[in-house]
Amino acid sequence: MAERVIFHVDANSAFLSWTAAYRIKVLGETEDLRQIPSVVAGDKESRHSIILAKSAPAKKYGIQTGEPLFQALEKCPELVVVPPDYGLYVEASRHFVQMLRQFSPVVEQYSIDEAWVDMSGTQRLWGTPRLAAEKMRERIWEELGFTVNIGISSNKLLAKMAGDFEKPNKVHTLFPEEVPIKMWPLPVRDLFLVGSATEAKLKRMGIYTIGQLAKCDLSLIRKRMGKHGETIWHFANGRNAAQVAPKPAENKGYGNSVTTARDVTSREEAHQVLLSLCETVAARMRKDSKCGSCVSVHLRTNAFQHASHQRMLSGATNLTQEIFNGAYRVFDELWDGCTPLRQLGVQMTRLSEKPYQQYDLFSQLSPVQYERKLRLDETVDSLRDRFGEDIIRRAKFAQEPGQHMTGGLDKARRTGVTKPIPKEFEDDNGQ
Amino acid sequence: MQKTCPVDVICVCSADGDIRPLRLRMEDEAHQLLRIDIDEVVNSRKIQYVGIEAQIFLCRATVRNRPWLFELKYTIRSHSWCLLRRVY
Repeated sequence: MAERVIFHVDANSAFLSWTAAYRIKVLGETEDLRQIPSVVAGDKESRHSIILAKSAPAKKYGIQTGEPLFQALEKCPELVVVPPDYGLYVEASRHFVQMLRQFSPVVEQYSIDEAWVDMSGTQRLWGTPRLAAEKMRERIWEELGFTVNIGISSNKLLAKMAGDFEKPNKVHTLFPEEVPIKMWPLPVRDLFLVGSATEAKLKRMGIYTIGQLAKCDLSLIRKRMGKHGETIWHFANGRNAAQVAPKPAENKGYGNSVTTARDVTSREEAHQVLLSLCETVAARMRKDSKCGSCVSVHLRTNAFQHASHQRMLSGATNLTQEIFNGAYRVFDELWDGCTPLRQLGVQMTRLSEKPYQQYDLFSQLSPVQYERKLRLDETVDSLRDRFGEDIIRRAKFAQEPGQHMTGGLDKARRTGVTKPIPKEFEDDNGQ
Repeated sequence: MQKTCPVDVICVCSADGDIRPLRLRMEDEAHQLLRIDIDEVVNSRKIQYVGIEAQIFLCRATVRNRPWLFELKYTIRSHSWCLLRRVY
């Protein structure tokens, strides 16, 4: 069989590039965000606002993606901060993938701004892999207006590693025969799936570069780090058999979490937040006709300590009330009742799909009552779909100023609801 | 950054494929509907950014006895209109 050719295509500073293209083309601005120290970050007032993307000049100040906005402003006070526009990013991502599909039908989207393309067998159509990659890079620049890095190899892992070499706007190859020269000298942290915890473990074993990991004895790695160790050992040797999968894998669970506006200190308050999370989780499950039978709750304290706990329900469900009943019990077992909490999350796993539903033998709800409750929840979902999520809310939230549906995307991103009229469009008399 | 504001629009799609906004409607902060009749489309331009095709119209109107000059954006794929900015 001929050797496979896999491209990894990654948009450079995607969110920032897309926002910059919008501001230049639509708003007619002359200043290009990509040329000045700038970042895309969430609401300045929100305490979990983090850097989502940065420009190359901002990178020179040591600003990193994922760090808190206030920290970035300390590093560079004249930093230009622009808000994210998720509608724009989703649309840009769609066009990006569409463009890739023009080169090959086998495209696997890995995230909003990166994808693998299986280019095997396209040589007579597009020329050599490097030539094809250059064409792809140029067309994306000319037609979509942003730059990409393309990594070329014979498997997904090496293609991704190659894509992360020098940026921006570059094409790199990393075929298996190039691994010892191009990949082995790199620090082990640069290897795919090696995070800070794995890096620390490897360093304790005296492994600092990818080459050292590749040459290390597999049995030793397996003994110290288990299955994950074996995976990264194969990665270090450039081996990865995963196929480019055009269809995304099914969800293994449905979960949402929220960082609350202020620390949660009472049980009642925490239950309210859990209920509001259950509303969104259950609605997502019902939309996909999925039921779950294991509920887990995770929380983060104000000291950033993380804890989670789970339990099996006696049957599979996607009723908001039943999920909440499970979630608050799990929460009560988990929380000591006094440590302030800044983040709460609910997740449902062990999914089953309709029409094969196992009713709960020990539930207080009979199958008929269950179906009735389900119809009620589905009616509420459809009302919220048609008229916005505030059209109906549980009585428990009637007196509460808090949000009755939280987690995942914020309201604007979930609903695409219009923003209030900006000041400049208000009437001059303030009427 | 300028904020955009989605609006409802009544427009003419001419036989030769041109599009021209006639009237727009939006909700103000008091949740009152504000209707604006467009007196004149001063100019329009087609743009493309990150693969999105759109058309921008520079319009003139009279709102509560005051002249307005503002830009409207029509996104072709989503058939959505938004107020981009007000010049005066």
